[in-house]
Parts: sequence; C-alpha cells; structure tokens
Amino acid sequence: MKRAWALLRLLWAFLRRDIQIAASYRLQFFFQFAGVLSICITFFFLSLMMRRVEGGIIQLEKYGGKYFGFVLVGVAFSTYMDAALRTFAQAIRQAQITGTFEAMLTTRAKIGPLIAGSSLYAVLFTSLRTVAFLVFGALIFQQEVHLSTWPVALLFMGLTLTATMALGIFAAGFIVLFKQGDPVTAGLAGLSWLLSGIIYPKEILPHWVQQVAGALPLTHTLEAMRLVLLTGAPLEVVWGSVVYLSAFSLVGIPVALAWFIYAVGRARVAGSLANY
Amino acid sequence: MSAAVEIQGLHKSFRPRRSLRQWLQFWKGRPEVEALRGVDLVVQPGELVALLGPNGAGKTTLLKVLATLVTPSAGTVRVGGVDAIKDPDRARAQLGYVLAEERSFFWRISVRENLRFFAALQGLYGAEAARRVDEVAALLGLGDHLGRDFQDLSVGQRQRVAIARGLLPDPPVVLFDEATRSLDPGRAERVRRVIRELLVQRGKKAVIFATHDLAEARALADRVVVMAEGRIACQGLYAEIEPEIRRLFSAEAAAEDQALLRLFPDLAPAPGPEVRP
Repeated sequence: MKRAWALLRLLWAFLRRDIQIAASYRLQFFFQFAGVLSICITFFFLSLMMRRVEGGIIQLEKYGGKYFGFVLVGVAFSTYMDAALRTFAQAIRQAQITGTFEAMLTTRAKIGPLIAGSSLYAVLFTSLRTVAFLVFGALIFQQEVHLSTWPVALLFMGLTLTATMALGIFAAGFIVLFKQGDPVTAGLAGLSWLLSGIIYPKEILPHWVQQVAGALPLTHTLEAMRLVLLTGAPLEVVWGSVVYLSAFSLVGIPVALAWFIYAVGRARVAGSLANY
Repeated sequence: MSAAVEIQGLHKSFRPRRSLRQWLQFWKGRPEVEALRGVDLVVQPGELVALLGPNGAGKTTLLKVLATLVTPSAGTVRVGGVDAIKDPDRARAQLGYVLAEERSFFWRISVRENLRFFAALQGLYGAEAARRVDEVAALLGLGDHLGRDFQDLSVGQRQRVAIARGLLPDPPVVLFDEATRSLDPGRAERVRRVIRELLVQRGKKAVIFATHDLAEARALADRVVVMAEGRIACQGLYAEIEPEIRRLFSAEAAAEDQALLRLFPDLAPAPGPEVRP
C-alpha cells in the first residue's frame, strides 16, 4: 500500500512537471486542438463527396452506413494509437537530448516508473485529443455517437493503450540503444495506416491481407470502437477484440519491459546512456 | 565501521563508435579504449577525497561507475556496503551525484519546481520535499532564486542548482564532477566550505570531488588521488605528493605545447601548472 502510494506521488510529480512545461507553451496547446478541428473539417467535406456513393458501399453498412462517422472514429483512434506508440520513445529521446535522462537515472527511482512517468502527460493529452475528435464530430458535424455504451468505449481506450504501451516501450528500447531510427514505430505506424481500415473499410482488402491486418491491435480497436460508438453494439459483440487486446497486452508488456531493461543494461556497458 | 566506498581492481573498456571506413574494414576488428585500468580505492565516512587528473584521465568514468551509470568490465564496487554492480538500485540510494551538466534541467519551469521534481525521484514528497528544497537552496545561496525559471539563471547559478540537486536526498556518499568549474572564485570558495564543513566535518559524509584544478584539490581535500591514463598514479596528502602531481601535469602540458608548437612554431612555450596559495 505504501509503495503504491509512493508510486502515485512519483507519477504525479511527472504530471505536474509536464503540465507546467506545457502551460509555458500556450500557443502550441491551442494549435493541438485547432488541428483536430481542421482534420474533422477535411474529412467532413470528403464525406459530403462520398454521400453520392455511400449507399453503394456495402462494407460501411455494419458501421451505420455513413462515411463521416466511419472515418471520424478511424482517424481519432489511429492518432490515439500513433501518439501512444511514439510517446515512450519520444520521452526517452527528449530526455537524452536535454541531458535529463542521465540525471534521472542517478536517482533512487526505478526504470519502470521513470518511463511510465515520462510518458504520462502525453498519454493523457492524447486521450483528451481523441475525445475532442468525437465531441467536435458530434457537436459541430452532427455525427450520431452512442453515449450509452461509453463504459465499453472506455474499456477499449484502456486496452488500446496497454497494447500500444507494449509496442511503445519496445520502441523506446531501440532509442536507448541506437538513439535514432527505431524500426517498431515506423513499421507499425505504416502497416496500421495501410491495413487497419482507418479511412477505408478493411473488408475491401484481399482476404489474405485482412488476415495480416487482424494481427494489428489497431484493427481490433477500430472495428470495436466503430461498432460501439456508431451502432451502440454491446460488449458481447466485440468480445473477441477484448480478448485479443488483453492477450496482446499481457504478453507484450512483460516482453517489452524485459527488452527495455536489457537495452538500458547494454547502454550502461557501452557507457552510452547519456549520448544522443 | 565499513568503508563508504570500496573499489577493487576496477577495469572499464569502451568500444568507440566506428567510422564508415572502419565499418568497411570489419575484418580488422574493433579496438577497445581502456578508460580504467585496475583502480583500487577506499573512502571512509567523513573523508573528503579529491580525484585529480588531466582531461581524459578516467575521473568521470570512475564517478559514473560509482553512480551506476556505467557498468565496469571487471572489478568490484561497493557503495555504503552495497554491491553497486549486483544491486544498483540500492547502491544509488546511498549516494548523491552532482553532475556539472547544466542541460540536465527543465529550463521552462522554476528552480523550485525543478528541485521538487528531482526530490520526488529521490522519494521526497509534499512538505518534506518543500522543506528539503528550502534547506539546500539556503545552503547554496539560492533562496532568492527559487521562483525564477531555470532558463533565466546565470551559468554559475545553474551550477549551484545542480549542486543543490545532488544534496537533496542527504546521502552518506556524495560525488562531485567538476562541480565548481563555472563559479566565480567567491562562490567556488563558498561551495568548497559547504562541502568541507557541512557535508564532511558535520555530516560525516564521504565526498569524492573530481577536478583538474590543482589549487582546488589542495585547498579542499584530506587526501588527493591522482589519476592518469585510467590508473591511480599516486595518492596522499597534497604536500606529500606535490612533486609527482607537478610532474604528471607538466608532462601533459608539455605534450600539448609540442602539438601547438608544431602548428604555430613562432609561439613561446606556455608556463607550467600554477598553484594558487
């Protein structure tokens, strides 16, 4: 209990620090949300064009039939996953460049809380930005969003985060070792963009490509989030995705942490922890 | 009473980054650079040791090994009785490391918030952290600067904040790496007094102070440990080993002079190392 309380206080110290730093860049904070609105507007006009053919796209039917809702959820949660994926590696890289990584590693704090704390603000901010997509879509562009299923949506946000954390921590290990050029983020972001069905339904892809897409966490998140938020589907309908994302997290996080600890150990041997 | 720091047979070799040509000539292997070559050192609680040596002598590598930032190639390291190689987390709880690196702070938040953040990493929170931050700030003459953004401080003030950060956890062992290099003489003397009188004499802490300044080593330390080329060349009271120190530093200065004179033959040779009284 005492250790859990100490961990919470440590995480709060990171959050407090990052809120203060973010508050010193007010204009950037404003532009982050302006960017969300700009993306919504772009896809709204694209969806106006698509309206003429919407009835003919049978792959959209199970998600409510409207392209704007489909792409809104797709873009909102792909940016969520993308940001969550990059945040760990970026936090480490930033700390290496500013020299704070070495300073933090000489304290009593352990490596796990250090990496979690370094990314906490970015994860929370990204979550807020994802909610902003849905709020703008519903309030400004009149997209129907099923609020009654919010606990299921929240569960999926959590599961997406834990699954992405595994990959993000794995990517951070590459940054500790090689400083730049982590293959995980670039590879996964590219594959997800292509195969997970962000701006087009994955069902239009060849069958064997859909099988590959099924291995990506984002594919499950998008499928489930669209069904939950756009059609009000209950938990039973998306249970398969819950199981997949939970299993991915349970296996992925210990493996990623082990890799990260190994990477820090290798950097200690090479004397390159402070290098950038 | 067990030693505060105990180092035996410490070796550290690095493999420097290869250039493109070295990559292409992979069959030639990758040569190693020996930064530490069999260092033995014991520091008792309440002892102040100056680690003296020219640039590249291995001082910083030795401190980084103690701070668990670098894993040695061979040898044993105990800090406060804890094996720093097998149990680095517990070993770090025994020490404070004063990095001279001023980049290692968050420039857009205040000095107080910087110190409170690092206090949290050392396990100090809330009122306890606030009290400790005020204490170390007062100790280093930073009380009036706590509310200022770190980026608004002078180089000397930033360096004092770095010292304050190292003292936050009130550890039994404190490592200083060139901690006074950017301070004016008055401030540097104040920091030396804090180290000597408050940390060592009153606090009975073991302090290892790395410097390449002969005068500072003479003014500060109970014992001077001179490093050269990764080895301990000599150690003892400054007065006892002064001829050896001068010889080592003169040899380095002469080598640098030779290199300079090759480039600029009309330059007069520089005078030898100076020790202020």
